[in-house]
Amino acid sequence: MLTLSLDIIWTFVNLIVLFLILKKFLFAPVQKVINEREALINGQMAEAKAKEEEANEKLLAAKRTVDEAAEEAKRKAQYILDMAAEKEKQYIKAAKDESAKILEESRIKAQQDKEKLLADTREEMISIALMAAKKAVGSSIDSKKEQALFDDLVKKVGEA
Amino acid sequence: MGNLAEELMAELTCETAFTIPVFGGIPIPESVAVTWAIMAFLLIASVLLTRNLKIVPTGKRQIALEYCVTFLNDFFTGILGEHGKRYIPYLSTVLIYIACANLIGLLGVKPPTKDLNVTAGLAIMSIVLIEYCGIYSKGVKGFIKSFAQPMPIITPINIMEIFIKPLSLCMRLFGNVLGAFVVMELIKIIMPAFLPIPFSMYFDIFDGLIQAYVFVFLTSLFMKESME
Repeated sequence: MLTLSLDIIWTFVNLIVLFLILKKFLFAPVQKVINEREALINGQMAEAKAKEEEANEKLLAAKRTVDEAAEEAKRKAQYILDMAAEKEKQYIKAAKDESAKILEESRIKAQQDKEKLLADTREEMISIALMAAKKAVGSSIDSKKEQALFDDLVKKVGEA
Repeated sequence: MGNLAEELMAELTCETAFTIPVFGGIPIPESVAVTWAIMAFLLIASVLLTRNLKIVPTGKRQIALEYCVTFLNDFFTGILGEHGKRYIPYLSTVLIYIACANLIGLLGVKPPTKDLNVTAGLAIMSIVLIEYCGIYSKGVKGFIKSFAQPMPIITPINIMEIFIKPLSLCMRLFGNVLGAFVVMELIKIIMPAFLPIPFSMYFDIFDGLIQAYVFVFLTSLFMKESME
């Protein structure tokens, strides 16, 4: 019962053969599949990480573009406002200039009209005075005397 | 009572199952024949279980198989560490073999582990592996020096351990299987029906699996010890 014999060699051989069998037909195929899956998962993880980084980069770029666009819009709006203000100033100035010019012209015109009216009136008065003087003096008066009278009248009117 | 002793002795004696008629006849003991049957069963089971393995598992068969293999890998890696990964297939083989050998008694076959030659063979292979492990990781010089550690005075004890470790492994397994068998035979004499069922659950299934676990657990512990 408790004796060892050469049969122990069978145990060695059997165990080694069983080890080789299980290694080849059980552990190796299962381990291979597990390793392949691990490689696949690692690959997918790396890919996902790369995609995430790419997406982050794109997001940053998009944000930058949006910021730039907003900045550009702000700048353009400010430019337009500035331009409008400038134009407004220009128009106001032009209008003021124009009105001043018109005012000046009308003043000059009025002055001219006044002067013309005065001159016309003066001439009218002279001719009336002449006609009256002619009537008073009669037709005997000569042209020399007429001239003297005229000058005298002019002088008087001028003084008046 | 004499009858029982005779019966037990008859059960414990390892008979020759058959003789291979070459070189004047090679006798094949019963335990070896049963071991071959276990090997054939494991080979067929392995081939059937590992058919059509997919990277993304679809069947429960593959998931269960991978769970078992991963469990064994994790269990032995936990004890041996990353350096001991190369020994995992052997230790797993021993675990599966002893578990099958202990459980085969349920089918009415005489368990191979009841043959001292089998348990002794397993223990000798374990000690060879343990010492190989030490030499592989420390080198021959380091391995010899390790006998004088932690202090030179215990060198004789360390040398004795080379024989004590396999002897304890061998005798623990053999003794447990033998003891379980004797107790079961006695229970069957007291009450052949019903009563043996719960005891068989313990002695044949629980104890059988525990012994398989203890054998590989201790072997891997000794391996870890010799690697350090």
